[in-house]
Amino acid sequence: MTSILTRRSVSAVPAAALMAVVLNGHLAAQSETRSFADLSIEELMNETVTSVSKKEQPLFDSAAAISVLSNDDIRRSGATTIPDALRLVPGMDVGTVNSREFAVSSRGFNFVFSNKLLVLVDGRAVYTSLFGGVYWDLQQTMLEDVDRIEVIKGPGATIWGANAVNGVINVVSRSAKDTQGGLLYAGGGDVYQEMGGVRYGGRLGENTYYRVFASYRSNDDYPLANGQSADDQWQGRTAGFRIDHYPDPDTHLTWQADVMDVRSDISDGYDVNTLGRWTHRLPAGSSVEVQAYYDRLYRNESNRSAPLTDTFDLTAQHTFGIGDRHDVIWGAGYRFIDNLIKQTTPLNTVRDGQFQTQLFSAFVQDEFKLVPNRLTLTTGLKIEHNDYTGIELQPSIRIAFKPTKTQTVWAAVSRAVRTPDAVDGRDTLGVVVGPPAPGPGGGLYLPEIVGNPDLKSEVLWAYEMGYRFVPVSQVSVDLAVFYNDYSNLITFGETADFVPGVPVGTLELPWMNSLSGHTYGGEMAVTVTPSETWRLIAGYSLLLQQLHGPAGASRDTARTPPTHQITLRSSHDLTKRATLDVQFRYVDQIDGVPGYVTADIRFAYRLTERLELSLVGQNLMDNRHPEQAVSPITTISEVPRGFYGKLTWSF
Amino acid sequence: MDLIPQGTRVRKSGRFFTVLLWLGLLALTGPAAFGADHAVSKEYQLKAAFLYNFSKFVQWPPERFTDEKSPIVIAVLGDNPFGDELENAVRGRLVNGRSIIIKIIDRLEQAGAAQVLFVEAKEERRLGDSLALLHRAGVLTVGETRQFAAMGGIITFTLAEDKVRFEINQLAGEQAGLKINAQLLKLATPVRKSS
Repeated sequence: MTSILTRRSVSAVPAAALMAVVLNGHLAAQSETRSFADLSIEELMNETVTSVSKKEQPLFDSAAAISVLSNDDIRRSGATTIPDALRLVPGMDVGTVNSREFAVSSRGFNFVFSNKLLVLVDGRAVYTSLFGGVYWDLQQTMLEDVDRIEVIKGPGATIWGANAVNGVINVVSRSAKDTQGGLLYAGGGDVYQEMGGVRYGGRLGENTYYRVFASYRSNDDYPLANGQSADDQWQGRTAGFRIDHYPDPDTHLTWQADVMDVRSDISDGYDVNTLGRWTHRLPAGSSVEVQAYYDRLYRNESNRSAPLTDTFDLTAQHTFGIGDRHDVIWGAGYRFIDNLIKQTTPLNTVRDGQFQTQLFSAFVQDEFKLVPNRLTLTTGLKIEHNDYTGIELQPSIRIAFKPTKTQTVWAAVSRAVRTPDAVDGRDTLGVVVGPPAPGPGGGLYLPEIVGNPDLKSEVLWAYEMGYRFVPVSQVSVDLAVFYNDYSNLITFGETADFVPGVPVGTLELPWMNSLSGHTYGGEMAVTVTPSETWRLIAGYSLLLQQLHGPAGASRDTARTPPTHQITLRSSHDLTKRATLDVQFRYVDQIDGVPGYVTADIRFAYRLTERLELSLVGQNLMDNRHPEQAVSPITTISEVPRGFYGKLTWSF
Repeated sequence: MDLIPQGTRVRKSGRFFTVLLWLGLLALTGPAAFGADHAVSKEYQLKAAFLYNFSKFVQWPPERFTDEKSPIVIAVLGDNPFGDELENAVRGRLVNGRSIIIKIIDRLEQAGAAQVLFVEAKEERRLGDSLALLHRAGVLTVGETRQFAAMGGIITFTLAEDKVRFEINQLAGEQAGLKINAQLLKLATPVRKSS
């Protein structure tokens, strides 16, 4: 499986256990009020092994700020989108931009076009090299069948490559083998008006499993700051299948494909993709994996442009041990991207919309057990060649020390880059950012941001430390601190060129590597399980940012982040059938947007073994609030209070 | 490539790291006294419940019991990974009118008296060639490693995507004279035919 853990080669164990002991171990182990011996074998087979001491070690020991949201976490949060689920992770900064769009980042630089967070869904990069970011509305993965969402805060570039600067999000869906049978859900409310989905999984042969699925959602308009409708309502549909074939116990073949679409007044789009993966275990703990995918992404946005992007991607990796002390993982990859961008508005002039790019990459990482079970040193290097900046090197060195079985201290130094994208790194299109203004000679000039083929990559040197601790079995603590040193940060406004024209000229503002500076702060999560049926998680994150650069350089791409964020979560099994989940969030003010406190509540009741009713209230503390500041070519609306109900039937 | 950040930044991060180190040291010296005492992992809580369940789905040859009331013995060879969970799982429960007794055994010679033998991961090498003998004695052998399955153990736990699964070696079960319920066979992960 492609997972943060196996990629890191921490161990070949199934990765889902991950943070279990730290984040949700004890409750998960005991959340059933009755004894496991009361369960049937079928029921036992549905229980996940979330607090296995053997298996949580890899995550507990890992030298990075990793968190994992399990299927259970996601379901119990009431989140209907991946960004909403990510709000559960302390240190993730998630801001609603409008009904359809989200700003998602960690450790700063968050806005609608935030470009330093790499996102993968089942091994496929959904970070688009077009504008350096993610179309979150096209990530409508059916959350019911998501096994887990792995979150790395901080750089993951040595393994994952460029643009894994401030974090990596890895969404991993369940295998067809683990989604056998039927699932049907339907619900609706005032904000999420309609939601429905169906999945059916079966067998194609003794060792071959499949599932097919489809889902639909429609979201209502959000309000603007003045209370009027933002007219940003949208509908999304998705359908797909996955086949898992196990020809022998050491070989796993996966083939999956899905299609998603989005329809709204200002933006339509679809994504079609298919992916195949072959993993094969070799003797002595080594393994090989080969993966290929094709992805076609189309958007037609009346306020931006209409890009059509075809991506072909091929990767291979090999894990093996040298003696007892070394685990090595290495791999190589190739990506080809074909773009065709059409103009949809005079405010976004497409200058050269047809182009291809290629990306070559190779990496190697060694995990050296200096003192077995005590001290592990992980060093690695990724080499990439891209068409914008040529060769990029992304090394890292990480060390993990376990003074006792229940404590891990880690530290890491790494370099990561954000490579220029098609908008800033080449003369693809110009973005008008204001009304015409008088210039030299008295003529009018339209200010327009334009691409710059001479850009260098944005560079991060990250220094991190962390500490995990389970003082008693009811309490666990996870702490990470960081100091991030950035240079060559890309923005516009440092220079301006007046290009005369009739009737108006252009004031060209090229993207430039104008800013540098640093951020520092940390994240902390404390999990307490006062009883077998109750879990509390408190999260806090601190983030400070200092940038410097020429006076004219815009700070719009590097706005002040929320200094403090606090999350409080309570997960309570009220009875054998009823669960109650409550979460409070405090997000500090950002440029132009006041801080806010909000709360979500989910109550679920199992009507029968197979039928669950859930009632969810979201953003309960006010009628509406904004979460993001004004951005060019973007509708900013406010998040309203919302309620929905949902029935889930498994058969 | 700019490998070393410039002077001023080094000094700043240096102070920052001094603070971090102190925090780290404080954390290390303080609470180390706690720790150690860990509850049994959920994996083994589940496996304990599986073991109890298996005993319901398997029929032993009548000569394996002295009479109709004699208990089913579940033996655990070597290190007991279950803590008290196995005891808790079977306490007060009857299977076909029989109570269940848990025995933790050190030596293989004690295993012949059990109806179910669980072999923990690192104990399987102690089995040597004795699996066939145990089967001849009508013992349902349960393990949790690929080697155990390869050696011919009857039921092998596996983990798939974080869930407990099991494989059944039907032939070995038959050789042990056990009747394994069809429902249990259906729930088992299919084993490659050729093996």
